[in-house]
Amino acid sequence: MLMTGLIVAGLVSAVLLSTWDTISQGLEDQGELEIKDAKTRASLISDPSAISWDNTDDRAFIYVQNSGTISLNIADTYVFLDGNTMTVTAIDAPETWSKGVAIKFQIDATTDLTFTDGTECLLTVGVLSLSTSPTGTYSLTEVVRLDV
Amino acid sequence: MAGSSVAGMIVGTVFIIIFASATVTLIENVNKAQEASAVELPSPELTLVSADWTWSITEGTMTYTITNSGTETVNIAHIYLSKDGNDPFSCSTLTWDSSPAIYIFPGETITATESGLDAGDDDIDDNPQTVFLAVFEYSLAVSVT
Repeated sequence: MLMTGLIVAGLVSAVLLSTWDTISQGLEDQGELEIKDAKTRASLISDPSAISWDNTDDRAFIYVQNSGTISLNIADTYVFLDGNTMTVTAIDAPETWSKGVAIKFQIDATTDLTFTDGTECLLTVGVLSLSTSPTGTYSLTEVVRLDV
Repeated sequence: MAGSSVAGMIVGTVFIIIFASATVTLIENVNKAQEASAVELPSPELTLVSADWTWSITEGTMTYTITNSGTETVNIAHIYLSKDGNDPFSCSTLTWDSSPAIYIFPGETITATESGLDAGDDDIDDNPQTVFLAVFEYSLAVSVT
């Protein structure tokens, strides 16, 4: 009777402690992620009322500034223009995308995109923090007017 | 009977440990949540008082007057200007009336001159109509006078 009780109590305790440890770890990770996300920011510094678009090359150039408090990962920047996935290439980028630094990005459509002059559409820019574990993420969406 | 009592003590002790851990974790997470909301991002506020275009025989000159109307000191290198939607350039590339001009302090107004703009050619620097200023998540545009 004593042994049975001890074994059951031990098993129950092990399960409870393990479950609590998982929950606790999840909460801790979530908290760290929120802090990292809060520090990860970027902003479009190109004039949104006149984003030059080249219908021949299906290409535009935009400038994005690191407006957060931690460095961003240049290579992981992603862009959507009018709902289309764009190929992103940093032009003359520094090694580190630190706070306040603006980078010129060439954004190329992966398919043929033809816009008329003055088209107003959504531009989404997403950035990731340079440091990982966890990785901070941020995306901004702005209406831009294309200058074709 | 003795077995049940010991088992009860074990489970009870575990519950107490879990409750204590839960309390500690809760406090830690509340602190982290406060830390996340307390992250201070740059929030400058500038006023582009004027952007004046002048022409002198062979070249055009743009004069920018910027006031720090916010409460944060702003590094001039972080301020970007663009004319008529063209490539933004950092204000640190301009010649300012105070030297060395690295920061604009709250309430301070500084003036910069960009010369050598050729109005004789039909290029992008000709008689700009609009100047767009962006610094972090703050931006504004003014008409050139």
